[in-house]
This record gives sequence, C-alpha cells and structure tokens, in this order.
Amino acid sequence: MNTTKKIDVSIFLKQIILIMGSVVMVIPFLWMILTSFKTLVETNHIPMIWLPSKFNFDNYFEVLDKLSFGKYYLNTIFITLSITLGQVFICSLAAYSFARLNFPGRNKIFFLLLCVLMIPSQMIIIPQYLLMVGFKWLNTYLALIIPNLPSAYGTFFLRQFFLTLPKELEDSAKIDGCSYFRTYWKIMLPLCSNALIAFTIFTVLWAWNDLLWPLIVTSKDSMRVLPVGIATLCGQYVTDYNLLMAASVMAILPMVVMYIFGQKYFISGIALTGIKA
Amino acid sequence: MVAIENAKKNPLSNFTKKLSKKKEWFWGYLFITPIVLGLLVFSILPIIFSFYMSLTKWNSLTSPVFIGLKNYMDFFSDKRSLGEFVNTLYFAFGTVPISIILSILLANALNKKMIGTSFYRVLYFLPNVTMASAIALVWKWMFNSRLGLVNKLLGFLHLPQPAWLTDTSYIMIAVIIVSIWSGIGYNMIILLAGMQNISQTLYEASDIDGASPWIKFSRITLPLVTPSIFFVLTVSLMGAFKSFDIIFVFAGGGKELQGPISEAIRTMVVGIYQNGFIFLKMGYASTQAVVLFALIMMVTGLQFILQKKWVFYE
Repeated sequence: MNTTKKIDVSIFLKQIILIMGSVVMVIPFLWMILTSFKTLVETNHIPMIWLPSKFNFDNYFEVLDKLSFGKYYLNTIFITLSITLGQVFICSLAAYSFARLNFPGRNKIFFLLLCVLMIPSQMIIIPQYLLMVGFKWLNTYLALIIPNLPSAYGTFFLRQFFLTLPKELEDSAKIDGCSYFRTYWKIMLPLCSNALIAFTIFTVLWAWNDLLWPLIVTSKDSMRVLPVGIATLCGQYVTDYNLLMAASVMAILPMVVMYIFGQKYFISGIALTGIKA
Repeated sequence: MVAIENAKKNPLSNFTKKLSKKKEWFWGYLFITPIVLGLLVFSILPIIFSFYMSLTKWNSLTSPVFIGLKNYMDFFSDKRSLGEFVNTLYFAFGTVPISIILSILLANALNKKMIGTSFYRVLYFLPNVTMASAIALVWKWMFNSRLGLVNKLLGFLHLPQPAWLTDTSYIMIAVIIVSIWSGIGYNMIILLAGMQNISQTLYEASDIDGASPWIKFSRITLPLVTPSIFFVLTVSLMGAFKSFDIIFVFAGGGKELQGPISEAIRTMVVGIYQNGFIFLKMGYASTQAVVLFALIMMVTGLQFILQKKWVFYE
C-alpha cells in the first residue's frame, strides 16, 4: 500500500516537471505563430496583446512579395533535393564498395576517409571558398550543391550497415550474372532501407537548415536560401517582428511537417546513427 | 563451387577467374571514385591548405606572403581573438553541463511507462528539426526587454527584468539559454536509448531489496548510462565549440558584427567568418581555424583519456 502511494507521487511529480518542460518547449513556437498574424501596431503594443485581432495572412503575403522569400523558398527546395539525392547515392555506392568488394588499397583508402571525419567543416571554409572563387562558382547552384555531396560520415555509417548483411545474396546474384551495379541497386539498397531512410532524413534536415556555407558562397539576392534570408532579414527589419515571424514560420514549416509525419523515423534514426541534426 | 572445380581442371577458366577479379577491382574503384575525389578536393586539400594559409598574410586579392608564425603570435596577443576564444569556452561550458544534467533528468523521467511519454519525446525534440536562425530570431523577440515574453514573465514573478539584448553581461546568458533549449531533445533521446538498454532484472532485484527511487537512479541508472553520457558530452562539446547560427543572429545578423554586444558573444567560428569574409584577412582567419581545430582535438582527446575514470562499460 505504502509503496504504490509512493510510486504515484513520483509519477505525479514527473508529470508536473514534464508538463512544465513542454510548456517551455511550445511557447516559442506558439509565440512565433501568434506574432506572425499580428499587425505591426499589435506587435509593438504596450501592454502586450496576446492574440491577434484577426488571423489573416497579410504578413505572409508581404514577406513572399516584397522580400523575395518565394525565390529563397524555391532555391532551398532545389538545393535540398539535389544534395540529398546526390549525397545518398554517392555515399551508399561507395559504402557498398568498401563493405562488399575487394580491391587493393581498400582499407587504406577507407582509413583516409575516417581521418576526414575528424575535420570540423567550419575549419576549412576559407580554402573551400577560395576553391569556389577559382572554379568561378560563387553565386551559383554548383557552389551550394557540389561541395556538400561527399559525406565521410554517411559513407562510414552506411558501410557499417552493409557489413551486417548476409553474403549469400550477393553470391547468388553473381552466379545469375548480375552486374555489380545491379547487385547494389536491386539487392543491397532495398535491404538497408531503414538505414537509408534515417540517413536521408538527416541529410534533408541538414541541407534545409545549413546557414554558414550558403552565407559565404552567395551574395546575390536571387541565389539566397531560407536560413540566410532569415538571418539577414533580422538585420534589415529590426522592429518588424510580425514580418520576421511570418518568415520564420514559413521557413520551418516543411521540416516540422515532415517531422510530425515521420517522427518514429527521426527518433529511431538518431539512436541508429547518432547524427546531430 | 563448380567454378572453382573447373578452375582446377583447365587453365582457361583460371584466366576468366582472374578476369572477374580484375572486373571486381574495376567496379570497386569506380564506385568509390566520386566520394574519394570529392573528399580529396573539398576536404583534404583544403585542410592542408588551411595549415599553409595560417602561416601567411593574405587579403585574397594579392598573392599570399609567407610570414611564419606571426599570425599565431598575434592571435595570443590580440584582444579580439582572445575575447572570441574566451567567449567560445564560456559558451561551451555554460551550455553543455546544464544541458546534459537537464537531459539526464528528463530521460530518467521518461524512462517509465506512463501517459504521454511519446508525446513528450516528440515535443522536446522539435527544436532539433527547426532552422537555428529562425529559433534565434523568435528567442531574440522573446528576450526583447520592453516587448518580450521573457521579461513579461519575470515581471509577473516580481523578478528583475534585465535588458537581455543590450546588456553585455546578459546577452551571453540569453544565448546559452537558447542553446540549451534547442539541444536538450537530442541529448535526451540518446540518453533514453541508453537507459532502455539497462537490464530490467537489476531494477527488479533492487525492488526486492527495497531500494528507494533515488538509490535506483544513482546506483543503477546513472553508472550504467555513462557510455551514453560520454557520447553526448563529446558530441555536445564539439558542437558548442563550432556554434555559429544562433550567435550570428543574436550578434545582429548580416553585416553588423561590431560593437560591444557582438563582442560579448562572438565565438571563434563567428570570428573566422568575420575575419575571412568581411575583413578579408584570410591568413589570420585560417590561423583562428587551426587554433579552433587544435582546441577541439585537445578537448576531445582529454575526454577520451578521462573517460577511463568515470565511464562504466559492462
């Protein structure tokens, strides 16, 4: 009797803590949405006005029209898709080769790849930028996409996964005269769909949200992506928080929707990959 | 099998076997070519070049001038870069310990079947899928001293209401709060996965002994989850040393990275960005990058040495 009471109390306390935590997690998002519907007068009103007088999308249209946010949006979608498709293909192909094919020097090359894993990307942005200058790629999609395609981590992670698959399948494919590429495409890839989904999700997230690299390699407004747009808007529209919040809501919405529908892949994906989004 | 027997019998099939081996080599190399070329051009050459550039004076327009270790000497006598160095440490050691302690408590609270656990998990992780610059923006708005939600709440509780964004001693605290808020869900998920791997029999045995929840937490959960804590600690510290987005937005975003406010929160990566791409001091910025790299390596190495003292592997 005594113990059950104790457990109830501890669960009750835990629930209270978790609910308070949830409130802290939700409020910024809620405030973002509420502000995005307010007029400028309502936004800067003292005392504070909690709810907008009416929910109209004026701020959203203004952001899309005046601030070329539509262009940022299209750019972000385009580079996210390109980076994701390219990166998943290149990394999984190499991972298959490292895990399943035999060729001289394989382990040495793989070791080199592990060394690259240690390099923080922020450390090499200057020489990378100079490469872009040399290639004349500044303010092009090429600069936003190509340097982001090879991922040492992705290759490493997918290789670990390919290593766990049984060897028999490939052998029978070989006897059937299946080419190496076909074996990779038709047999190996479908077998590691879980790992691929996890890796794809995190690539999408990362590509969508990355700020530093696009900030460096683009200066033209027409080449900007959403994170850069958001970060620079706040320098220009210091007080128009209703507009800034409308822009923010639009920028985060696709990832939040993707997350809500695919939550189980996200949560199990982190446990699987350890990727920090 | 048949192929091997045939190979023993006639030399011609031995030849085809060799040919198929060559074929495997060919495809093996072909499949890794994109990644190897890519990493060579976009990672390995740049890292080598970084070290070289850190020894030069270069404004990116004229050709680089070799000046030996002068940049490194300047780094340690330059108030600016030392300030960024100190800010980086302040930010990292202000964010990571609190974030990990809170996420251990959260994970422990969630490591039990009760109403709403999956809801909480999803909610706490939400900032991790959200663009950091948007997060920074909404928090900047909430920290606004006159119109912000934070001071409204503090006023309601009759607590002092600092001018978060314009007071140099408070802005870093604001940035740290935002970073803890946005990183806690990731740590929690990793720690929760670690806790769920702990064998239930240990808890059942301790129930028989009549152990209190605190004893169970401190004697079973905490020691057995140390490998996950170690992982989270390593990843979080690395991430904190490299942080850019939130600080960039709080420091003004865009061109305005000057002034006392920016100075109070500017970390090394922001300094690298500013020196390299605004002041066009590419050589000096590379030196900062090398120092940052050395710092990350040292701290990570130290953690791997120290882990023997506190990480418990079954």
